[in-house]
Amino acid sequence: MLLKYDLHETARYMGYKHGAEPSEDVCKLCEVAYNELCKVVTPKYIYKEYDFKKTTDGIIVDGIEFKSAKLLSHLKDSNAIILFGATLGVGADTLVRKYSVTDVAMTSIVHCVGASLVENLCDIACEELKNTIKGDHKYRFSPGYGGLDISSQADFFNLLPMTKQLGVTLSENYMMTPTKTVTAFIGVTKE
Amino acid sequence: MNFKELFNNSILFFDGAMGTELQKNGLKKGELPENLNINSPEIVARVHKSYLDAGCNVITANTFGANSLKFDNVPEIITKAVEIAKNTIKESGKNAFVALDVGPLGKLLKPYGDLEFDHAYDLYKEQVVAGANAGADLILIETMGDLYEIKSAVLAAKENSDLPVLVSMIFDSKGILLTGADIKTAVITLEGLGVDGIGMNCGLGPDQMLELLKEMTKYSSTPIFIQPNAGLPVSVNGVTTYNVTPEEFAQKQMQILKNGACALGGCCGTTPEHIKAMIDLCKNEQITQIAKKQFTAVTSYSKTVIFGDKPIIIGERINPTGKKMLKEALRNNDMDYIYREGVSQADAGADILDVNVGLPEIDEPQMMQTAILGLQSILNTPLQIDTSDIVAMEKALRYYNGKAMVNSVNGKEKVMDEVFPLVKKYGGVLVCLTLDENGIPETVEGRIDIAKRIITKAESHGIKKENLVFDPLCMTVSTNKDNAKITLECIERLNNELGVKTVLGVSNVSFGLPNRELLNSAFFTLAMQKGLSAGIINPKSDAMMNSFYSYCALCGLDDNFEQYIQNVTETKAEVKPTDVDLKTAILKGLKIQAYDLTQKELETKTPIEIIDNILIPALNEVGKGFEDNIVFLPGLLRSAGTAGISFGVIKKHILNSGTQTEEKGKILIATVEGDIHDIGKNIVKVLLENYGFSVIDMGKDITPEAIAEKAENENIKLVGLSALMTTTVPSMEKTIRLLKAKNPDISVMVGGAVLTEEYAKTIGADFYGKDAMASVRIAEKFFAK
Repeated sequence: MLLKYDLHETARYMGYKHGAEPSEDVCKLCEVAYNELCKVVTPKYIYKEYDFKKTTDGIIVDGIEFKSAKLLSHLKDSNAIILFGATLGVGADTLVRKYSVTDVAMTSIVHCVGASLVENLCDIACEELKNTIKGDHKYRFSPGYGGLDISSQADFFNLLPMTKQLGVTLSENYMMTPTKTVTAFIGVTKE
Repeated sequence: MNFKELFNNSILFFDGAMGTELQKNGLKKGELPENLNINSPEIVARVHKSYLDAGCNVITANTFGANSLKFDNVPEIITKAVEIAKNTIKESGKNAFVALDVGPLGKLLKPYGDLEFDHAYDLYKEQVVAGANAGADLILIETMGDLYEIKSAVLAAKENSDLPVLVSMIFDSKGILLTGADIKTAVITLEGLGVDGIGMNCGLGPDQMLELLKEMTKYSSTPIFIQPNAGLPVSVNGVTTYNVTPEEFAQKQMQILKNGACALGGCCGTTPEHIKAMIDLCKNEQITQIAKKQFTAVTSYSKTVIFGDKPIIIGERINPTGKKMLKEALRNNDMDYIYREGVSQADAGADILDVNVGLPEIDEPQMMQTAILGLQSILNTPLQIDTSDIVAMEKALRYYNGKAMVNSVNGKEKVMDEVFPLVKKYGGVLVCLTLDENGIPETVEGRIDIAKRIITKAESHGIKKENLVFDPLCMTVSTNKDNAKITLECIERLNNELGVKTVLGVSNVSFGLPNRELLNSAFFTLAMQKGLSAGIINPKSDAMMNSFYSYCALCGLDDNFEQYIQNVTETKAEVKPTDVDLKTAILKGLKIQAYDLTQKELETKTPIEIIDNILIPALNEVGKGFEDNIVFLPGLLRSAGTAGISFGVIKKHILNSGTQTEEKGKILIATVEGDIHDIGKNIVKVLLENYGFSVIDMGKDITPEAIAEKAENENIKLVGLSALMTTTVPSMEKTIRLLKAKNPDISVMVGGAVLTEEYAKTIGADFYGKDAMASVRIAEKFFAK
């Protein structure tokens, strides 16, 4: 799978604001980071479709409750849900670690280009999902955002085999490793 | 016959899927299968019986996930599981072995995740002890996706039982484990650890495994066992199913048997019907005993280096002998300096890196462990553990993720008695020096005799000849004009007569003579011509690498002259514009220029003048730009990194001239316990260092106790703590409380994505740094007081 990064997004992750653009040098370094990342990433994704129930302040998937009013409202038109997970694998983290001792500027650039790549992986995967699971797909909604507590990751991992199939594990504080990983709910409206 | 004999001499049949069979027999959704051993043993027994009826001679106890991360009563669960299996066999009247099933822990080991190697070992040890006590016949470590976790499990199994240990891995369709090892690397590493069987299970169907098996048999001398899924999973109406029928499965497993496997079983989607069909078809086949392979190879966690016709470059730079900067780094625990030496040598073409961190005044075993863990967390270049301290050697071998090169053993009886058992236990390729109690023989004959003795003694320890690499040693030609000739002849005879690989520390030859590189590189060429397998050299020396690339090009070892041409082009591309001054170089982040320009400035200015009048003003200009949103993070960091190079040059100059400099202040920084994000903390560190502060970086996921202790021991006045997630801020708060309890005068600055000025105050921090630059400003103000 050939992933691409979005320079504009990458610049935003790097803290560029007020319309400032990265210099030519920094753009070149992004390109270097991208090429290095391409050599070491192992992009993979998995998904599983579930029915779900709506409660007053959240949803229930396979008997497990996810409390978030925003998630509920995000899914108000949906009648099925996809649990989705995607990762770049351990290689991206190793590259970041390597640069953190040799070149701190590149550390941050690799980190940000990597973040853009995992988003791109999610975009590609979600397009593919539309062919497999028919219906109107909502945008990704991730644990830890929109009032959905980060601790819901543990429940999420019980519903989707992130560890066995993607090699992603959860720390006691609900952080995922490899770090370039995304989990998300995707609402689907089927006819 | 015991299991090992049977495994090596006849076809064994393992059982198939456990989880889905338990579900069919009554395991409720969401219930952990291992609890059935206690709550409903009859369900487990029923599944075992169905596989025994199918004809299996190995059944797997229901213990796959029985570890203390998930259960409070691991010994009980495991004891029951083994009992159930044994009783079922007894009742059936059949002959079968019980495998203690050991699966992955569900957490990644450091550096990928947050689980310590020793913790993983302890978890596995508990399982092994319980399983062995309960009477399991073998230990089956299966569905493993990380080589390091496998190592912890294998050590736990072998150190706490005498049972045969089989390891089965889950590869992706390209034959790669989750943490990057390919089949070759995994096989070589596991054989080093002395496992009794190597296999694959889960993840793939028999078709894919047949392809991967071909790769496995190329390298393995250990019996292979294969347990595929019943094809690749397909989702039908949201339910996962497997499509390969029992008959197809049997046919495909027959192919696998004919291609070199000696034991068969099944994984996800396989049923007693699959296993029965397989056994009925295959039981009368003849076993193909696996051929013994002979090659010399070392591995890292993901990469293999095989000693072949092309000489191997072993980077010699991580060795404090004669290196002031490295000595200084070791004394100050400046690990990054050591890691940078590693990266730069790997970038320069080293295949293996020698790691020697011995200094009389430091704790070598501890330093060796830290260095090995650090280097393997950033590089996949295999390492050569270089120490004469046997404790350090064992630590390094234990925590090394792969099959290491070990430097060294020699013909002294005492040294052989110490070193061989370690290499036998952990695996490794051993550098053997041809010297003994009487020193280095002056004659070729004398050195060859020692080599022969070492080979015999190694064999008596169960270490094969291909895991020995001989260093015939080279004394300088300045003391005896024949020294080089003797060594060269030794290399030739070691190769031709003894059939062993050779290695040489090349640069000794020129000791005491001028322009040493000239002699070293010529000698290197001569040695390669005599068949030298590996040179321990400085890969950053153009002269040495030119010899290497030229030799390979001339001897047909460089296809299409690819390496040679690339090396020549790289050298040419190095154009250095000289129209910038040092300040501009730092502002623009021009590293090479900054290096040269700093050296030039040192000819006319003192270090303090350069720092105060050039480096700090340049950094301040960039820092101000960052605060004003004109310069952004990459620009700030590039300038900081470039200033770091200048500081490095100045530091070296100061060390060489022996003068002292004044330090601006010492700051301890760490990412708090439970938090594994350290990019922000690393950025803060680089900036602080480049503003002249001395920084002790404790790393990430550090306990409050460890931080408080370090702060006390180092007499720290200012601590910087980082936390990225809301979930780890409580641990930050706890750290601050503990620091202040021990020393009320200590100040703490905090930073991280979730923190705000206000939040920082509520958890008791003295300062809040909104970004890396802010931490510099805080430190400046703090130490200006």
